[in-house]
Amino acid sequence: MDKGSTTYIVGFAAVVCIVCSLGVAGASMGLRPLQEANELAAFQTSILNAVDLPAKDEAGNRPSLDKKETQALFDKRLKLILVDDKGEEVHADLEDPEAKKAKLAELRAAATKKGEDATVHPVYLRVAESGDTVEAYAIELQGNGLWGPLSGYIALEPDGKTVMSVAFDAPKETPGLGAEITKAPFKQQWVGKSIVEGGKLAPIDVSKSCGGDAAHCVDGVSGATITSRGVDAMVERAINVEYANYLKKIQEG
Amino acid sequence: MSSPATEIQAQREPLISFGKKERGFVVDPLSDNNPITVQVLGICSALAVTVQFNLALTMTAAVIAVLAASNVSISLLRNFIPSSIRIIVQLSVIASLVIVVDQVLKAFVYDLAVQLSVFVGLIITNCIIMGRAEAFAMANKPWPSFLDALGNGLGYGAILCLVALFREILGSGALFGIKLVPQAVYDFGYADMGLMVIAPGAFIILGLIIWAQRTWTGYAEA
Repeated sequence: MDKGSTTYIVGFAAVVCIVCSLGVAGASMGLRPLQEANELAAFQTSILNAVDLPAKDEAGNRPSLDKKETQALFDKRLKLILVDDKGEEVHADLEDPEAKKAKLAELRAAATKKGEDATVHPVYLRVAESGDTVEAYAIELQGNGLWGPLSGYIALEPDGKTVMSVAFDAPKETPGLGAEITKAPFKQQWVGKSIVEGGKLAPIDVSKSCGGDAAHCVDGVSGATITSRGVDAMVERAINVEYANYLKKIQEG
Repeated sequence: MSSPATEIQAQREPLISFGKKERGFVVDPLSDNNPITVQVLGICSALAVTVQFNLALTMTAAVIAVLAASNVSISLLRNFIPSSIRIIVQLSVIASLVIVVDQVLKAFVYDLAVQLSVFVGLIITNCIIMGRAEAFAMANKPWPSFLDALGNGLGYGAILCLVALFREILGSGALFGIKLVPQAVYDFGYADMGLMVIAPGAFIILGLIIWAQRTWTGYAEA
């Protein structure tokens, strides 16, 4: 067959497309379970680290755990509860965290379909080794960066006011710019800040110039204005709207 | 008495041989025709993933895998690819291979894959891979194409690792994330070079390597 003929060229292109897409699809589907296990472990590690687990050693380094240990520690020390926007725990009858996650996803999907904001939000409680004492609260953040979604957790001390630490995930942001929010220098700024001012909730601002308001302000990332604003907005929404009543409740004890 | 193994080898001799010419395919790109320092290709990733040595190693492995697979596939297809669409065919093959490598990294070395982030995907745009497919694999048999890929991949990786070695030691005082510079030296007033952690540090190191290499080999731009 003539290699220059249109039929040959179109046929060849079609075969290349089909073979390439089969290869890509096969790799993607075949490796999906392994990737999901990795993503789950990364998610669990980020919440665990936010609530200061596993405990740091004397030199201040956090021991690294494998997937099994992470899962075990996560199951043992973190308890997922769902709260509504009045601050009440809901669906407490669901024992299994997986069932709660599924319920949460279902409620969120339903709200999105109706074009409303979700009214049920997850809180991860860090519970003591023995007993039910809550040692930290981790509330969820969701928002938008420049190129895609941002998410994260703010972990609060048992007083419900002081930030223990934060974790951010910015999968689509530019490495070196927007993605810097996931790195230690940005996250370190949040530790010890308060979300309460004069008895009222006061979200921590992400700003270009914090000025004298250092108690409720962290510096944004240079060159990543939109991402920094996205963080600012999602923190404000979580503290002032989504979790406002729940936070007031734990602050009152 | 000749063993079955040597017989098979003898049969394969014309297909897979490793003579002086073949050695040249592998050795030339390591120094005299290095894709980074001589051809100045693939600079983007040489700046982006050389902050840490283990990132450079992973990137090297990924590039060698993609380059070898793309060169061999293009070489096998070379007599069937219509010349009018050869570039897009090369690109499709390379892009598919890169996606597969990205998926494999995410499945088996998740932490490194997260740190390499977009740069694995950007292997597609690495001029070395396209360059070797167009300049070599389209005109040569699979075995020489494989060796050419190996040589160019190693030549690329050698420079990447060399740059990363300097950058991680000078910029973070560490190698493989393990602290090399003792605390006592810091207490004495030594500080890590912040410049090495950012991209200009890589440019400077790369420039010095090119200078050293050209002084050594006497190479001059034609």
